[in-house]
Amino acid sequence: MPYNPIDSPQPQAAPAAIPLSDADIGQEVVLSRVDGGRGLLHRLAEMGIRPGARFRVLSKGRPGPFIITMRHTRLVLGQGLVHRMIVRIA
Amino acid sequence: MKSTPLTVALLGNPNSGKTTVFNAVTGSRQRVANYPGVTVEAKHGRAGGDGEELIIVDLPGTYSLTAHSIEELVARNYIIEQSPDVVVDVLDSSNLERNLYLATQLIELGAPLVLALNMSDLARARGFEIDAPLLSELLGVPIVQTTASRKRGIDEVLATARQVGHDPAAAVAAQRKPDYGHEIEPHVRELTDRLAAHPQLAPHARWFAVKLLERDEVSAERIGKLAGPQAAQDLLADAERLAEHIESVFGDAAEIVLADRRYGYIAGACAEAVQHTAETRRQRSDRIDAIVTHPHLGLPIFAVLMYLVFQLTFALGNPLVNWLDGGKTALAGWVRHVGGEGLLVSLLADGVIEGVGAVLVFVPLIALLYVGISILEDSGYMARAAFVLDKLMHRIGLHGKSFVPMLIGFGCTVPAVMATRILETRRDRLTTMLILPLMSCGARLPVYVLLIGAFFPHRRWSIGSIEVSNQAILLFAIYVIGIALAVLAAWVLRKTVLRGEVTPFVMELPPYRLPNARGLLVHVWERSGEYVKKAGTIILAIVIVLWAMKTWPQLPAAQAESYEVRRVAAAGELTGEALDRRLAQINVEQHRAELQHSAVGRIGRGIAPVLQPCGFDWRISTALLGSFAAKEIFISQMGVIYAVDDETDQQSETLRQKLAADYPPLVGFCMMLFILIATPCVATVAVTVRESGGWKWALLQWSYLTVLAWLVTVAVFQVGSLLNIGTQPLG
Repeated sequence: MPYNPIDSPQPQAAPAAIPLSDADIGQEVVLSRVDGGRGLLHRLAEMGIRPGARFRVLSKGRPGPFIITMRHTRLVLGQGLVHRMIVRIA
Repeated sequence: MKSTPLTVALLGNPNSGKTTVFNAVTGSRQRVANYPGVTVEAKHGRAGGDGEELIIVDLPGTYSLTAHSIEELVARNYIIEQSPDVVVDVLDSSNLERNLYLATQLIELGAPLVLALNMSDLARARGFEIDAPLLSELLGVPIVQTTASRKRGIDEVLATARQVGHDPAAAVAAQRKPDYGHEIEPHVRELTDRLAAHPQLAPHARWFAVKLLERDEVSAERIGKLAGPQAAQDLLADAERLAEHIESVFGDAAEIVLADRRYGYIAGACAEAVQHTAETRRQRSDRIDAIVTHPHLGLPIFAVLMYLVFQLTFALGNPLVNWLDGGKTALAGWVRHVGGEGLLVSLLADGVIEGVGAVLVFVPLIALLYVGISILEDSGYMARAAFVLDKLMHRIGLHGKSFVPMLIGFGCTVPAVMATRILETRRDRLTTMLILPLMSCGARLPVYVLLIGAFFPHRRWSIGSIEVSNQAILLFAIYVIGIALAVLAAWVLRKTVLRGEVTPFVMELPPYRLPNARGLLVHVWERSGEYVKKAGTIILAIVIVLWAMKTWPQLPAAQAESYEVRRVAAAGELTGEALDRRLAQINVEQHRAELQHSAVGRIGRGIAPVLQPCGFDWRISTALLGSFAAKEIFISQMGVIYAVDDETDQQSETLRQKLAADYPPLVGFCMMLFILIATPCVATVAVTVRESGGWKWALLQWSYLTVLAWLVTVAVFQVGSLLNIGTQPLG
């Protein structure tokens, strides 16, 4: 394939996976996975919090809790949770 | 047409306005009842409107029908076991996708369903355009749009419920159950068919199929009961095989895949029937949130709001309490005056009126505190406060949410223990329950007020323009000591008997709403009612027992006669004022002898040596015995012990003088400490037994608090005595 410096995008690193606790206020993130037991995963799934879910960080406490906005609702995530949620910056 | 009225179950997410719908539907025709065997309350009401009568059952608010919490289990058991004629699911229209999750489960359950899309005005303000007829068609469920706070749509809900109730089969047949897709759906159907072969399982076959694939233990048990252990075992084995197959295909737990699919089904319906344009209301909510959940401002704002709640409660409540207290004393005096001497009069005046009255006079304080708490709850601030406090609470192994029962605990421990239901795991509930008695409840306040008034004469200082009073500081200090001990106790409990990580929590922040006066009143009415009920039942019973223990055994006849002989002798010797004084003196001696001879006096003396290191004598020990019934009984017990020479004189002013004459301030402070920490009252023990599911935790709560009280009081008294702080009586 001929080299075309204009069409070829710069080799961009895929956004790094970070724990949600490291995300900043105002950032949009996509959930990659949750490190947790079956019960926790089920409970989160029932609230629509699943890998692929996109949300924005509205407020963060150090070390927690966080307020996020997802599908027009505001959710508070406790500090135990924000460390287990692995996200990518969208 | 049925002759008995149709039963309509109300269900919905927390914050969906379900209670408002219930109040609007039933008006004042409601009552609170407990489900037998479970600890969750259900309210029943009747609704007429302009048609036939309906029975309305208000089920606990839940996000789903998975058995994550007691509320969810109660709601789903009610629907499966009691088969209400209609289920009305109340949804928050401005948060439709999340709220529809419960609806999909109700559809799966095969419940005759009506959806009430509540808070329609809020949804519109937030930019949602909902095509209700289209959504209704997509889900196959009748939908009514309501704004319950303004009573809009309520009659339509009732009318639709009647229609569905008269032909439930048609309603269920019209429902469109979530389709799990070509990978999963065949498995669900296969299992459904197998379950349907058992006639007892047939009505909810699809529900049970889904639940078995989710490995739901409660459903497995229920199937065992309905279809027999052998059949259940086969069905479970089938389900396990299918679940494993699903998991191998999707690489995720079956229950998670199924939850995903339900959301997929909802998203599909919403994509067609819901339009979202600009938001306005949210922005206002967000602006408020930016301030009240601010990292630095959040806590101070919370503290100020709490201060306002308490200030309002006591400023408005205390005059009312004093007024009621005066009325109670007058009533008891009148009964004695009219009835004269005699056991029955004594039971009525000293036992029932003084004892139960002592509890009832605090109703204004309790009600006002609940007004404050309900405003914070209904406006949506409570969820923010939980957020603000989460970090602090986390350090001691509690949840942000634990603060809600703790706050209610300042009113009365009994409803506070019940409020621990908002916590999801048993460990969190138990920890919170065990420390709740350390929140100074409304019943302890009068004891503090009496003792502070007796031992610490009012002084004021001015610091700049701020006036500080020593009494206010002391009162504040005793509340803070309680909180500090609670923090310590929670920390120790989480390191020992209730070890384990704090469960990660997810909580919805509802948009701010203006609390509606009617809902507020109902709230306050119910909660104060709980307190009054406690006074009328358990406290009444214990007051009578205590009265009997104070009255019997009576003095031997010979000894009683000796006082009579002395009285006659005095009448022969003296006249006028000297005679009155002598007679009063003899009366005091006789009553004191009677009390010492009685069961209470004997037990009080019996435990006095144990409490002696705390600085307490037999009189204080006896009064503390009474405080186990209810904290405020400490006052009336002290009153009885001291005011025995003059039955009508039970006013605190006199009691204060007598206390101050007999004990140094250090002992007064120790009494406050002991009342704060020791022996949760009988009603608290009873509710803890019920809510924790057994005597074990209630016993632990009672004993650790009593031991802690003893240790703290002994330490304070001994160190105080050693340093000679407040060891001289004032009087």
